[in-house]
Amino acid sequence: MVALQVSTALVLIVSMAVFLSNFGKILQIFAFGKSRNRLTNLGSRISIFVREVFFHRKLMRQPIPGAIHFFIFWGFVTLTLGTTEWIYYGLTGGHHFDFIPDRFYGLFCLSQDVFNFIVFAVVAAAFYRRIFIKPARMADNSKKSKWDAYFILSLIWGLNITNLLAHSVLIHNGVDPFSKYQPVASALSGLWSAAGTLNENIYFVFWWAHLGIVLFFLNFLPFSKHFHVILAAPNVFLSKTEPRGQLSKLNLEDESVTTFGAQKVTDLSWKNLMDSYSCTECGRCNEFCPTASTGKDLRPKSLMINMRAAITEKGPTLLSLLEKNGSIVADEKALAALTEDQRRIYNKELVPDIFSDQTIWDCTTCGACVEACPVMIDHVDSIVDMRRALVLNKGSNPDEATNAFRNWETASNPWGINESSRQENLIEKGVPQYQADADFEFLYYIGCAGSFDDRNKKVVESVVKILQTAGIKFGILGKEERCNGETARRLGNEYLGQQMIKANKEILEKYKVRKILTSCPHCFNTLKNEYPEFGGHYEVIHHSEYISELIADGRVKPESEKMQSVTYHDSCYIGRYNNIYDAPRDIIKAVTKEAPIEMARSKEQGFCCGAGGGRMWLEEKTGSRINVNRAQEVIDSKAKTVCTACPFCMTMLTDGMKSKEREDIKVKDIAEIVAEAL
Amino acid sequence: MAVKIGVLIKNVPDTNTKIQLKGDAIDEGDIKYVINPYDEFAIEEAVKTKEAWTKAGQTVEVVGVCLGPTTASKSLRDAFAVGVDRGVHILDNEKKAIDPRSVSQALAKVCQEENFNLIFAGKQAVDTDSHSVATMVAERLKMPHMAVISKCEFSGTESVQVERDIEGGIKEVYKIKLPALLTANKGLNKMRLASLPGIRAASKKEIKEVPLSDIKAGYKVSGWGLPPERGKVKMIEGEPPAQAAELVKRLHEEAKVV
Repeated sequence: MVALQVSTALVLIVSMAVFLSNFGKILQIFAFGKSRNRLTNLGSRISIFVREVFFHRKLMRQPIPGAIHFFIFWGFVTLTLGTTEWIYYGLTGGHHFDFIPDRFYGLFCLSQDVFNFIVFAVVAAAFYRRIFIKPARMADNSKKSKWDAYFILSLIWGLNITNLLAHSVLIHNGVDPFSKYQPVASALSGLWSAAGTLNENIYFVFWWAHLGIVLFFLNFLPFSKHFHVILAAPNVFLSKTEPRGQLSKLNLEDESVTTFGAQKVTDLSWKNLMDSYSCTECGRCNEFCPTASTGKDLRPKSLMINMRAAITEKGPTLLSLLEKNGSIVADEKALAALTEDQRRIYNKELVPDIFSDQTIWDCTTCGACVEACPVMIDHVDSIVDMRRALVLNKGSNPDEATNAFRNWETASNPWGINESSRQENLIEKGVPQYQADADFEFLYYIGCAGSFDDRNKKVVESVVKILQTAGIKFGILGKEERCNGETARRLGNEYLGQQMIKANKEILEKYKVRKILTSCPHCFNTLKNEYPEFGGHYEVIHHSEYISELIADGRVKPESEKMQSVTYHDSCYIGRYNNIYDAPRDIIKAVTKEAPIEMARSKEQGFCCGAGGGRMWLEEKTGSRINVNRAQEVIDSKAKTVCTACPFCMTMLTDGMKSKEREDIKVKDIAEIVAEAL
Repeated sequence: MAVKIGVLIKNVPDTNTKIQLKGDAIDEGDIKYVINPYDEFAIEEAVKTKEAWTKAGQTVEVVGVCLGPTTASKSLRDAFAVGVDRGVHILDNEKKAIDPRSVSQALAKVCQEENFNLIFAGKQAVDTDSHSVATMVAERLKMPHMAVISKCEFSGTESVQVERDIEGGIKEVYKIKLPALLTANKGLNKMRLASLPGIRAASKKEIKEVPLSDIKAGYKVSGWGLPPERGKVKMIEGEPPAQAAELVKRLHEEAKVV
């Protein structure tokens, strides 16, 4: 038995050494990324981990593939215990986990036997799905990726079969005292019924085959999209715990920093790089993505695959630089020492060498991909980082964005309308200016759309009417209000964004503002989630929440001659980014006395109107139009009115309905239907 | 030998500004000043030309020339951020030089001293709209000039072929020798956005302040006046047929025009 011990140890040492070396290299590559602290908020990390890894919350949104994965996952966890015993058996020269009391060991045997069978069965289901059902979200996977999947599934089958067969031999030979705990292996032992006692070597053929597959599997993982077997769980644990709607803040004061954002792949954070390696290519991100759904360049899955390819290509060059110069940043001398090919790879920039300009500017930052991703990849933040590099380092962005930037600079609003006309309509109506020492309940921060855009001014007037009806004392900033910088930041102009934040914060401080009401989800998100990092702490409420509270408290009583067939379009920035799904629906319910019609894509899986991330100000030149795609869904829902809770959704859907020549379907803000019913 | 490109830059009120009067003068309170939009095209073309010539092995310097009060230097700094190398600011805090004759005189003096090989300017400044300063500068410098160009292609630093738009969508094409002065029309280019390193570098670039030379004014402004207030607007609401009927009724009964 010494031979077994020695050979097991040798095989184990060699395969672990190879695995750790390859895995180590990958970890080293991750470390080339920019730092990012992901060890804070341990409590929420643990709860996310339990929810997403143990309970598969996101995967279960698609019950069948979710269940298949659930069983494979838990099967794997259980069978890994068996693998440990398998290795223990080899190293000890034939001992099982005999230190475990028989009662429990029997259960252990049962778990192994049953899970081998279950995993075998669900892998069969997975094969079936891939070969016959062909899920659309994986249709665009590369041939390599598809064969990778089949290969991995076959390996899992191999593991199950060799495990069960090895046990069946022992059971057949009558040397397994726990055979009654192994119904499947016992049944399989029937295979050998014609033969007499089997040679022990037959057992070892299966034993070695099983161990061989285990160790091969481990070493194959780093080169496969199934690397997620190892990375997915830590990737979930290390995911962003700050509010999803909070962009990272760039330090623009430090004069020693001369490049900003992500220009080269190593400018991405280590977590972005780990994200790309954790991607399973399942394609859930593409399903609700507004750009992937309308034939544009940007597809979140491809974003991850290409990011992974970029860092994988660059890795060896960086490792050799690190070895020779102690740094991955090459000076001229180090650069000259590289081969021409290495230099070309070293100099590659994310845009345009890895991603086209169009790809990076396509994104609406709606967060549908982030919400969908079962391994908690954060696509949006990396896109904004790439935009930052383009805008701040090169002054390169779509022309329309330049116009918007100029307008913000000169007039603090994206339209460039003179500031002196900000909120003129409200001032004329006698809405009071906010005063620091008056007993105002809150500041109603109107935002640019509500201040300058005619359609959205009407929405604001409706909110004002509701507040006045309920007898709420509130004030506005009028001409002194400034844009809050949300959109400029999402267009990558962190410099302008931070200037605007500063200017806006000064005004809010001047009036000692503590509580803010907004009717724009973009204002809401940035004031609530981003201003604290800049020293602005306010209680921020969205009008959907506030109005629904007023209704619940009976301070506002909408009574309409029954409005009917209303659907609700979720705004990304109050929905996915801030989890406000019920308040606007409650409002619709209070007015129409029935629950709103739900569109196929709603709530967490709502479909963006196309205006987020500054896309409101850019032309949509490729693919079909996102707002028209959504308008069609509204039409299909048979609703007569579609409610929004965002000024940009309002504009986009109104245009969408016009394009579809269905202006009979009204687009209204939730505040408007309430105001009309007063 | 180094090649020098001059750009004439004016600091003007943003085009969205609503001009208000305070007594006899313009109320400066709410006015935001920006680079004259046509000068932006001139700046961009100068920087682009510098880039092209530098690539061809020349040493090129782009110098912004600006006339105005102390605050006007902001436009020079903004131009620095997108690549202009240094600036000359003719200080005029009393706003003495406001007519084309005196402005062109002061600018020409600086241009003469700088001895530019090429000068770009906007075709007009959007505040006074005289359309004449740049070409007057050229005349004073006895330099060939071409106004309102929408395209220019250089053959080395020797000559340039320019296109200018004239009525009826026709393009005139000229080839002229340098030194020359060109005034930019919309369509020539679009000024790039300043990068952050560019913005930082801008604060360190040199502005030489020079006093306003003795100038002869062509005219003096004797007064300002605002256009008459627009009458009240009445919005007619309702469905289109009802709106039309209401409109006719009002035109007939209230306006008495039909």
